[in-house]
Amino acid sequence: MTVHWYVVKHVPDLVRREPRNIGVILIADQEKMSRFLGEQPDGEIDGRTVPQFGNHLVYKAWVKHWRSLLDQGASVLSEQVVAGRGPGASFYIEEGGEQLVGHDERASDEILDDLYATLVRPDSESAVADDVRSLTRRVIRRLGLSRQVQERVRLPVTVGGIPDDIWFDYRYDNGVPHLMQRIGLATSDKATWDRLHLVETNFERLRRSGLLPDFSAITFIKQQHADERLVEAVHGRLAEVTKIVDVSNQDTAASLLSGLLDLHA
Amino acid sequence: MEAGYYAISTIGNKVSGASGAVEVQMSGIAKDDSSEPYTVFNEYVCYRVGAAVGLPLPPGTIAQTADGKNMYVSLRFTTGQTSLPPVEPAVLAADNPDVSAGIVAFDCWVGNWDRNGTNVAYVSGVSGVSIFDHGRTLLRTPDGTGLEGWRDKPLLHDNHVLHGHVDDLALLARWAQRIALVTSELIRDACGTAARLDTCTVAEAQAAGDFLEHRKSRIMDYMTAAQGMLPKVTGWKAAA
Repeated sequence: MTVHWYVVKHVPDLVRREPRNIGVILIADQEKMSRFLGEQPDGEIDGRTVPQFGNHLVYKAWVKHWRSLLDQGASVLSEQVVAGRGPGASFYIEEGGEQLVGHDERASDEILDDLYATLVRPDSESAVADDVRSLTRRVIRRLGLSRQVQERVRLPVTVGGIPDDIWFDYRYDNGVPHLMQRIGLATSDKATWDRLHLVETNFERLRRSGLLPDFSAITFIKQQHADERLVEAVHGRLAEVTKIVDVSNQDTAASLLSGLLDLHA
Repeated sequence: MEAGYYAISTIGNKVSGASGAVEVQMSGIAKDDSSEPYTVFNEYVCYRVGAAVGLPLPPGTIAQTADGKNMYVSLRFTTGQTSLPPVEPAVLAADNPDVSAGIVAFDCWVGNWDRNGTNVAYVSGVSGVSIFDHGRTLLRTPDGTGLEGWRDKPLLHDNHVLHGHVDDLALLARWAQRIALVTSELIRDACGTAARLDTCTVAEAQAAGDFLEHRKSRIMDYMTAAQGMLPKVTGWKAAA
């Protein structure tokens, strides 16, 4: 398999013209993925984390544009590379490179994470979210489910007569739908507590909607080096609405997840 | 472009003798003829006539470099530190059907054969609409020949970013009327000014002026003749 990647660059000052990497786009066979500055684990852009781009709605529109180019494939991206930076444009795409990868070697998402960490991630951005994400992916891969598990799943529901959309990090159907989310617990900050509340609320709202009466709820955490109060909150309250899988230990996590997903039935 | 989408980068000293005036610097985008011929002429004339019909083009003019080279310079529109991404045509047409129809009618008038997503800017809920990059119009014909052979062609192209999205015949007709009302004096002045600055020959400027004059009152005829290029528009017979 050949992995091609592209780098999205930002030119903050059109006179100085000193570009900075702000995103990576990757294509490998049928897989297309990307990651941009300010992107949260659920794919949303957190405008508060990218104040350098001014109006966050404009930056979100750019990200939407790049994702649209990615959907259109390598030839369209290459056209953008050839076209270069348009007059007055603050962003442009450059060819990154390519890498031959054997089937038993690293998965594309790991390469994307590495490229993002190497080329883009600023010192100020926490790697905790990456940590839980890559550990969770590794557990899923150990079970041979990388291609079967859907990512960033949207469920349109109605709760109390009012329409709502709920997003989950993963979904795997095996007799019953398994909806899964992940949460990093390293730092007891507002974003983490908000995320914890969101995970709880999402499962609760899905239950109230009645859309998937038999769904199973699973949440991945990394308990190693986690904040104690967060761990207590997860096991004290979140565990009432979702099964908890600690991905700190990959063997234990894979075994537990295999049982929860009923893989050996 | 709507007012409010231009940023002052530097504020300087007060200007003596003028009430409340200060020197400022603003960002602009400049183009010359080095990549494609007639760029400066086409950009300038399109700006003049486009602004006259009320379309959102960034303010611009012809400026000279220190060595006397002509460039077309327009103000850099922005909603902050960053430029806007290429337009999503379906969103633009849904949010701004009137301006979208105007862009189609205008491009038909000036013979624009390169209206793509990167020369229309609009982000829903954030910015106004802006159209720019009019180098591939007027004297820069698709095959490089003179304008005479193109004078009565519909000049609606299937690569137009909005051709599959505009749907209101009445709006197109309204813009055709607005174009027809552009005065000969304005057209001749725009072309003549550009020629005086040596962006083209006097004969070429005359040909461009004749082209615009001839077409300005026939826009609906051209669009009706090429109605297949506007598949969402219905009711053509009534308009014809």
